[in-house]
Amino acid sequence: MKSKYFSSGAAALALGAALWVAPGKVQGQGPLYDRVNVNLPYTVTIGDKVLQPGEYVIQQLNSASGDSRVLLIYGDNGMKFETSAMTIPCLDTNTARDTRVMLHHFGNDFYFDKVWIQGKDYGYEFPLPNSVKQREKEEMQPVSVAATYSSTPAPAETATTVPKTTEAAQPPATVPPATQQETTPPATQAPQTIAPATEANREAPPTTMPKTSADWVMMLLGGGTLSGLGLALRRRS
Amino acid sequence: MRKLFTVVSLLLLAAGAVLLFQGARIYLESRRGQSEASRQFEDEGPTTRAVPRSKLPRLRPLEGEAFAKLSIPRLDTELYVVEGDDSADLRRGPGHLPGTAMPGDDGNCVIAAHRDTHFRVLKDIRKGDDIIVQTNRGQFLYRVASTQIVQPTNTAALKPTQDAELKLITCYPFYYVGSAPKRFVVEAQLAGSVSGPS
Repeated sequence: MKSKYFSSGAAALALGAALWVAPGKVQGQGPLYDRVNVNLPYTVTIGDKVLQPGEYVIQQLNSASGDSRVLLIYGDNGMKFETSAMTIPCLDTNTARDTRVMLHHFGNDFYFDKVWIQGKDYGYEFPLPNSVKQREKEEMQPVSVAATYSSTPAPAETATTVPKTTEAAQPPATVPPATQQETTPPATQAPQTIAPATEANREAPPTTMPKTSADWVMMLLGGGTLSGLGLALRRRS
Repeated sequence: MRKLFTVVSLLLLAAGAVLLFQGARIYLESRRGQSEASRQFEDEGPTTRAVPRSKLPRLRPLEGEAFAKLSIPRLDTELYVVEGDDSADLRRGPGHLPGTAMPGDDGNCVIAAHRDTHFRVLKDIRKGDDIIVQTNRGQFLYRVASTQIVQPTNTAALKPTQDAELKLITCYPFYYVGSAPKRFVVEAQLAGSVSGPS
């Protein structure tokens, strides 16, 4: 009987506590994060990761402001983390009619392009990997092919572009313009990358490894042992 | 003789109680420190407007201030990073070593934490894992390039670098009673960023 009273009393207390806590919980929920379920029909490359065809969950990383641009990709019904990606915000004047994941098709490969979310005027754009950009650029660029010069009557156009004095040395000795362009950018980029590094490390860098052991386990074990010994001695005395 | 036994037993009990109290305090402080750091960090709120990384103002957190959130999605881990690496700082959370680069900056950013509290999760980290660091300057995605076990005297992991790198340091072995004899270093490289001043 006593236990019955106790259990009903406990139930009442629990109910009261739940009612008291619930509104607070709802208020403290914070921002909502975008979450998209997608069934990928192709193998999609993202960063170093290759996602096999199948169902995936694309979820916005939680952040205090709720506007995180990092997307986390989960497979296995949202249970297995696959990879994360930094995205660029993209806006549309019209709100998207449906949630859509767009892929970038390049050669035989697919890459994430954009994610639009139904009812929202913003989306997520995945920057193309540098290697793909490079490949794209290579496809767009005119290809120059080395040719040997001969003294047979040449078309008038070539004769005007190439000065007569350099003709003899031209074939293998001079540096082609394409390689000249390649060598100049790193020379201008180099100071940009080095400068922030030196600024960041203006304070003296640490010279010793930090102590990274809290030792609370050892203290608890030691304390327990000493207390046990003390109690044993006390009983004996 | 009996009196001596009583005195010794009292001394042992007192010493044991002090150690038990200290152990519990360190453990509880590490738990409470993270919730305090989370409040401090979330109040400021990181933003993500697109600004080139090189044009961002420098981050200058005060000693003990929670200024970054470190997430490892695969390990379902979120930790709040404080500035400094003394024992009080590391009790609150992973500490950024003063004198090393700030998250997202070019250079070597070093963050250390206790292996028996906040960085216990590093035992499961592996090459290719993503580490996301959020500050009020933006979000920075690092990818684990390697992990290594070194002697505490080997300070190569602390040396400045030209590229944007992140090093996470803790003691090794992870399960060890007392001061662990080695260090576990996670080396990650910046793989992407969304920057923006607050």
